[in-house]
Amino acid sequence: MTSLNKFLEPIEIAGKPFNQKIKAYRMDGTSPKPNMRQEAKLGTCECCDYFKFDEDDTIVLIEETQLMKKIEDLKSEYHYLEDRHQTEFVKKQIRDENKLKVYGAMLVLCRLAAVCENVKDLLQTKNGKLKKYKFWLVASGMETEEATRMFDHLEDQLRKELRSTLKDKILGRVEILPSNTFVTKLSEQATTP
Amino acid sequence: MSFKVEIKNIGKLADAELRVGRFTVFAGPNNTGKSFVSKLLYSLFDAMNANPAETYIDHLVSPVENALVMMQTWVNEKTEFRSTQTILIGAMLPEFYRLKDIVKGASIDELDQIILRLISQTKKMQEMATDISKSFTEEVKEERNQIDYDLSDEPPSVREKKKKRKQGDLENLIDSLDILKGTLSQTDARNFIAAGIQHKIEENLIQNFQVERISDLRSEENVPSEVNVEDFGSFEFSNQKIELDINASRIKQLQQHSSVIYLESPVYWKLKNALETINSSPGFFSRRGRDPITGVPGYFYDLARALKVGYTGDMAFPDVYESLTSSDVIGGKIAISETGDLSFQENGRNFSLPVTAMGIANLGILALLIERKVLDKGSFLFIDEPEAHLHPAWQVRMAENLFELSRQEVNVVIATHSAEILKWLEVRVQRNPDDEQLVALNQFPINGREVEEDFETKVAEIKQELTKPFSDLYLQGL
Repeated sequence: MTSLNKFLEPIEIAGKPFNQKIKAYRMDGTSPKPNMRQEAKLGTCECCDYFKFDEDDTIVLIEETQLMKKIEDLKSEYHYLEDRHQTEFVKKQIRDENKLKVYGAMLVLCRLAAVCENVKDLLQTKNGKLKKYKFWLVASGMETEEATRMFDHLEDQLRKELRSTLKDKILGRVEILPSNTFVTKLSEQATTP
Repeated sequence: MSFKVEIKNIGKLADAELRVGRFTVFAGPNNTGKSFVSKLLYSLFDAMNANPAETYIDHLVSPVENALVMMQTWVNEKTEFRSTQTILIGAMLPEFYRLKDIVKGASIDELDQIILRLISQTKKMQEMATDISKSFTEEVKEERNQIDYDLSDEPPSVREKKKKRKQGDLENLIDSLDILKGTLSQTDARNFIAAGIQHKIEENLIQNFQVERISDLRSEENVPSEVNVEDFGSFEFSNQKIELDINASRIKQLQQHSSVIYLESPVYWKLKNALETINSSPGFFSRRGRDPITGVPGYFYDLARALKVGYTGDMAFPDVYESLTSSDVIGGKIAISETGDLSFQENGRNFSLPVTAMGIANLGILALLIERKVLDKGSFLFIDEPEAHLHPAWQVRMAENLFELSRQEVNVVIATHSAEILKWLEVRVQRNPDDEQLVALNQFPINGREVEEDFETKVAEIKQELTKPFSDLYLQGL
C-alpha cells in the first residue's frame, strides 16, 4: 500500500527549502527520492513540482519556475521573430508548458488514486465528491511591481485557457505568485493555529 | 436588482444580450458599442423615470404655446389704448400656464383626474379664444378699428397683410386648442403614460445621440430593430418613431426614485457657458421641421438642470461624499452657484472650473451629485469612462466610491477601459464574495446570447484584454 507521506518534503524555491517545516507532496521527484510518477505507473510525464491540501479543502498544484530565465531563453532562441510575434510566441510557450504541467499533475493523482485506496480518499470530500483544484505558478527571480503586473495578465490568460479545457467544478483559482509572496503566504498558513 | 437587456439591430449590436445589475460594467475595445449602449439605456431609463404626463402634455400643448407666443406680439404692440383682443390674450397666458401646472408633479395614479381637469382648462381657453376671434371679426367688420389705429402710419397693403397675419394667428390658436381638446378626450391614463414615455424616448435618442432621425440609429434597414428590457418593457424602433409595450407597474416603481444621470468627461463643464448659449439659440442649428442638432448631447443639459434643482432633505450618502472630498482625494469640493456655474473650493479659496484639474472635476462632480441630493437610493447613474483624467490611484478611489454607492442601492453603470478598476473589482469580490451578486460584467463586442460564466472567469477575460499592452511591452523590454 502506497503511503502519501513518503512524498512529503520541504518545499524548495530555486533548489533550496525555504522552511524545513513547510512541506508538500513532491510530484516530480526522481530516484533515489520516492518517485510519485513511477508509483503511479507513469513515465516522466510533464507534472507540477508539488501538491498540497489547502485550508479550504481544495488541492493546490504547485509549480515553481525561473520564469524570467525561461522568458529570456525563449527570446534568445527565437530572436529572429518580429517583436509582437515573438511576444505572442513566448507567452504561448509559457502557457502551453504550464497547461501540460497541470494536466500531467492531475493525471498522476488520478492514476495514483486508482492504485492506492487511501489516496483516493484524500482526493475526495467527506461526502464522496471530487475535491476542487487550484494551480499556483511560483515565479522566482521576478519580484518587481512591473513583473507582478505582467503576471496578472499571464495569470488571466492561463486561467482562461485552463478553464476552457477543465470544468469549473474541477479547477478553481489559478494564481501566479512571485516566490516571496508564495513564501509569505505559506508561512502565514503554517503559523495559523 | 438584475435584469437582462436584449438589443437587436441598433448601432453596432446586431443581436446582443447583456445584463444590468446594481454595479454594471461595460468593458472592451474602442468602437464596440459600450458608450452607445450606455447612452441608449440612459435614454430609455430617463424617459421611463420622467413624469410622462408632463412630457406628453408639453408635447401636446407646444402648438398652443407656439400660437400664443406668436400672438404675444399683439400684447406687446405699442397702443394708446388696448383692444379687447390684446387684453384677452394677456389673460390667456396665465390660463395656459395653469394648464401646464396641472400636470407638474402629478403621479401616474392621478392621471385620470388630471385629464378631466386638462380638458376643462382647454375648454376655458377655447372660449376665450372664441371671444378674441369674435371681437376681432367685429372690429374688422365695423372698420372702426383698433387695427387701423395701430397701423395708421402704414401703407394700406401692409395694413392688409398684418390684418391677415392676425387673422391667421387667431385661427392657428383656435385650431391648436381644438386638436388639444380632441386628443385629450381620446386619452386615458394608460396611453397617456405610453405616449409620454414614447415621446420622451424619441426626444432623448435624438438629443443624446445627436442624430437627425431615429432611423440613423438602426444598422440594417430591412431588419427589425428592438430593445427588450426585462421587467420594464420592449421598445421597437421604426424609421420615424418608437413603438413600445411597457410594464406600467414596474415603471411606476422606477418613478419613485429621483433621478437618472449620465456623466461624461468634465470637459463639457469647462465649456458650460458656451454650450448653454448654443442651447438657448437652437434655431441657429435646426433644420426645417427638425430638432436642433448642436453636437452637444442632451444628457449634459439634463445634468446641468438636475444640479440646479434644490432638492430638500438629507444627503443620502454622506459617507461617500466624505470619502470623495477628503484630504487624500480631492481635498475640497465642487460648488455650484445660483446661475449653475461650477467652481472648486479648497482651503477657503475659490477656483473657476476652467482652471481646475480635470481629475478633481471628475470626482468632484460625483460628490456634488450627492451633496445636491440628485442621487438617492434607486437612482441610475451612468458614467462613461469614470477613469477619465484620473491618476490610477484615483481610479481606484473612484471605483471604491462607485461600488459603495451601488451597495447603498444606486444603480451604477460604467463603460470603462481601466484595468485598475477591474482589478479593484476582482479583489473586492475575492474578499467579499457576497458582493458578486451586485456585479454584472459585460465584455464588448457583444453578439449573441448571454454566456453563463462565473465572475472570476469573466473578470479575468476582461482584464486580460485590458492588460495585454503592458504585459507585451514588459516582455518586449526584457
